[in-house]
Amino acid sequence: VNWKVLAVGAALVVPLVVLLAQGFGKDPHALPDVMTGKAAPPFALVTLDGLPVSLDAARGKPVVLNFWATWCGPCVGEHPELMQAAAQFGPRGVVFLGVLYGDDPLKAQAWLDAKGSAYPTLMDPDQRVAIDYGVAGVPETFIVGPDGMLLHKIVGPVTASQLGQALEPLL
Amino acid sequence: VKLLLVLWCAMASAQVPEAVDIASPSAAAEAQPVDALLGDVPAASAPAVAAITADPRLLAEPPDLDPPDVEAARLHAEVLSGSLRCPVCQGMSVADSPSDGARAMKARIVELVELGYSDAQIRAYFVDRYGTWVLLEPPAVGLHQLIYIAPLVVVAVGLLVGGLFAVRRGAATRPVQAPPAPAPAPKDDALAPWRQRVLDELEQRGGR
Repeated sequence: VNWKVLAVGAALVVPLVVLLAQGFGKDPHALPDVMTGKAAPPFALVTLDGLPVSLDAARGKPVVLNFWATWCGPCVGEHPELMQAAAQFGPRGVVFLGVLYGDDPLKAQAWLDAKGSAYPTLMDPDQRVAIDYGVAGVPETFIVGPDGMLLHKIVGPVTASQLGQALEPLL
Repeated sequence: VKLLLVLWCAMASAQVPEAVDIASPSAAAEAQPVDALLGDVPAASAPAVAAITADPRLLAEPPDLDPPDVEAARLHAEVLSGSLRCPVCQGMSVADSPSDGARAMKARIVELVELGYSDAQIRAYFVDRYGTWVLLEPPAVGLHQLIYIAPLVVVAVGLLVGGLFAVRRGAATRPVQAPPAPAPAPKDDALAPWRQRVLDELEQRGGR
């Protein structure tokens, strides 16, 4: 065995294998989470019912902010989970808010009427708030602490137990 | 924009009653958390709430520049959105992507340019929210420097290894050429007359 050749070969191949192993272990579509730990961007929006809601008004309470749309399959899938979490944590002082992402408010209202809704959904006409939160697609769920800091960003469908784990320490 | 918001709000609320009648249980469940959330903010007063937060178009800091004229802003925003990556389709710039999300981002960029925000401010705004991922050309800081340095390092290593090879090969071939040189070296005085004769004959032939 030529140890010199083996050593040089290993020096070239091993870092490459490590790099590839790391790369293949990652979802190439996942964006880095740069929002967690920052102050939640403030907003003042209007619900589908026409009621004004601002994030400032929820100061002192944990907030679950769910960006969704009726055309988004995973959002439809996670809806019962959010309903369950809202039923469980709403009475304990957690504020649940939906934010409509790139969808028609009337369509969303009709959808909620059919599927049921446990909390208000806000209209975000120019997706300004979605951009402010760094939303890349729906569903995305943010958990804002009582102090107004962003504690969690959950990309993709969320489960009631996931929400429970995140909310329990805040109550 | 506020006016639009209020208008939309009025439109939405005008549409809602018919929908609520169909499914009143959900409407009842919905009403309670909104009231609880709003607290002392009087309901149905969008302007009042909007007044709490400043103009939603503005960033945390004031614009660096004076607002440009509309056409210049549009052209500039086009260039700027070409350097930002679309979070939805990912392989494209915001300018090239036809997706809804990208169009919203582009509208936001146009808006910010029109307000007088500088390129650096707008890039920083998006980097704050999406990470440096959002820049199609990553900045040469931190680990990103590798992207720019690595090719140079690879070329340098290649040249070095190639050079070493060439030098070693040169060193290996020289001894093969070298032996013939010392071979004729031993000068035997006994052969001197013969050598002289050969040289003379060669000279004579050359002279002919």
